[in-house]
Amino acid sequence: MKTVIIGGGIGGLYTAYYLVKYGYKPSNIVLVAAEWPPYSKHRLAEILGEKLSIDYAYIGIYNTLLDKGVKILQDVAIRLNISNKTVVLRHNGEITYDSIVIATGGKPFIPPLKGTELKNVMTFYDLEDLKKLSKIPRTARVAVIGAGLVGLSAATALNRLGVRVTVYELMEDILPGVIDHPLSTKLKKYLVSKGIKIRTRSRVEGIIGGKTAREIKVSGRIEPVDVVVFATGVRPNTELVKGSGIEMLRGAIKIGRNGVTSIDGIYATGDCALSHDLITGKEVYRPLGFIAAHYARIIARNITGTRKETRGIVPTIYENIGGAHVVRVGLSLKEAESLGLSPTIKCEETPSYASCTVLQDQTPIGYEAIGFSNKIRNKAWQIYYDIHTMFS
Amino acid sequence: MVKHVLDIDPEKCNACMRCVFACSLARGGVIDERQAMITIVVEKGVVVDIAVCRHCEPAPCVNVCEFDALHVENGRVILDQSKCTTCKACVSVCPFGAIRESYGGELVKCDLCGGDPECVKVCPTGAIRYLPAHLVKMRRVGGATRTVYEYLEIIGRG
Repeated sequence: MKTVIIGGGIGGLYTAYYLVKYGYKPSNIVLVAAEWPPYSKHRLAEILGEKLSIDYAYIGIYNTLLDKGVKILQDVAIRLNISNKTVVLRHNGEITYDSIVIATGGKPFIPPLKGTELKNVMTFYDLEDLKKLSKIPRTARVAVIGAGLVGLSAATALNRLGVRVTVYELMEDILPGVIDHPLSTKLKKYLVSKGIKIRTRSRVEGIIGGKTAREIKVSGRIEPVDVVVFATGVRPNTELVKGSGIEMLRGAIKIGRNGVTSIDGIYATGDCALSHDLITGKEVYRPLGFIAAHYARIIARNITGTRKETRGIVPTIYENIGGAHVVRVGLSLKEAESLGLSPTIKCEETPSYASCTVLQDQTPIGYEAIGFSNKIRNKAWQIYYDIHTMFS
Repeated sequence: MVKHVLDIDPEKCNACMRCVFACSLARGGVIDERQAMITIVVEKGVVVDIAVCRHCEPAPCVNVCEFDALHVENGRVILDQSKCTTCKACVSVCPFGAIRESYGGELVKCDLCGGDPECVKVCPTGAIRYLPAHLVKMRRVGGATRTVYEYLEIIGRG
């Protein structure tokens, strides 16, 4: 039996790891990775802000996989032939599989605007982006588009380097996918006090320049700029499976609770696929590394013959945003509403934290907190267990 | 062997930093707060907490880690750097704020120095002691009705 894993990101890497752990013969695993060695995107902002070597980004287990005898092909899959169970690689030709795991990840989304092709317009997504951003001069004016985790991490890292940063966010609040209005307001105030300019309710309408961008048009105003960084989210990278008959939803691969796609023997995990929300049971698109690893483990169990299904995911997020501790477990008010619930929110403040609990019919379904001292301790863990006890 | 863990009493701490420096020395051979696995939490000039791993049972961080990077070894919660991707899910659910980010996003947490914690040896006030776990469980945090351990045990049974 041979398992081919397409993608060397978190989903692919940890599928290989768990397969080996659960007793699958390493020499029967082929991992097709476009980039090698594998690295963690969670570390890019730290490396940028502290001017560290990119070696810090690499994930240690790739050595273990190599030592065990997993076959790594630095290559890209270009065609999937489901009927004869083969996959065509750009350099290594056609290879056969018994099981295949699609872990092709995501790709940064850039809105269709004028001027995004200009030279100094980029994303903050991979090692190449990190290298480019590391080289920009301190005098540069940087526009970061999007105030999500990636945008704010990039902005605070650049701010630490002394670069002038303005963050533009379309929504009313920053970190709109992570925390709700009461805490978002506090974070915004804190970041502004650190010297980061933040413009919410700002629609970027285009980038102006010859070969390189010189100005940015935002909600009718034109502002000078030297570098533009798009942090406007991630979309599933599913070119390989388009038209293959594998069922998709909103551009992402649909998977069952056992990680199998609509076709037997074909699994998917990570930013190319949907996942299950524990609280609502709904299928959601959450491009988060730990979710990729969660399904990687489930998939490895199923491939090695132990039937295993996920009960679903409870988001558990922590990020240090320029010295502010941001925590979120379970659902935010906004996410709960988007999933069809009618939640309420209850907020409180202690000397170290401002926090909100999201409730549905008096039951906690989420918790979010923000703190500015060196105290990380908060109540998230309690809500995390309450949610599991209540909904599992 | 009786399981021993760190018993923390922030009221006795005078923020001398000896534990922090001893910890970073033991871990990385340097005196550097950011490499230490123990943190003195000060708010408005007052020590309010000493953030360090209590080696919970069951441990939320171990439960939440999808990367197999945290496991329990002889009653100690151990972080395996080679498997960690810095997703920080463990940081979000740690009841003690005891997992921290060091350089380049590397996460660090206490491993009890293999059973002979350096911080305890240098603490001049008895704010950090190394005691059998069953004695430490008696302590309640911040006027809570249950200790973290009691809460975790209830959930662990459920």
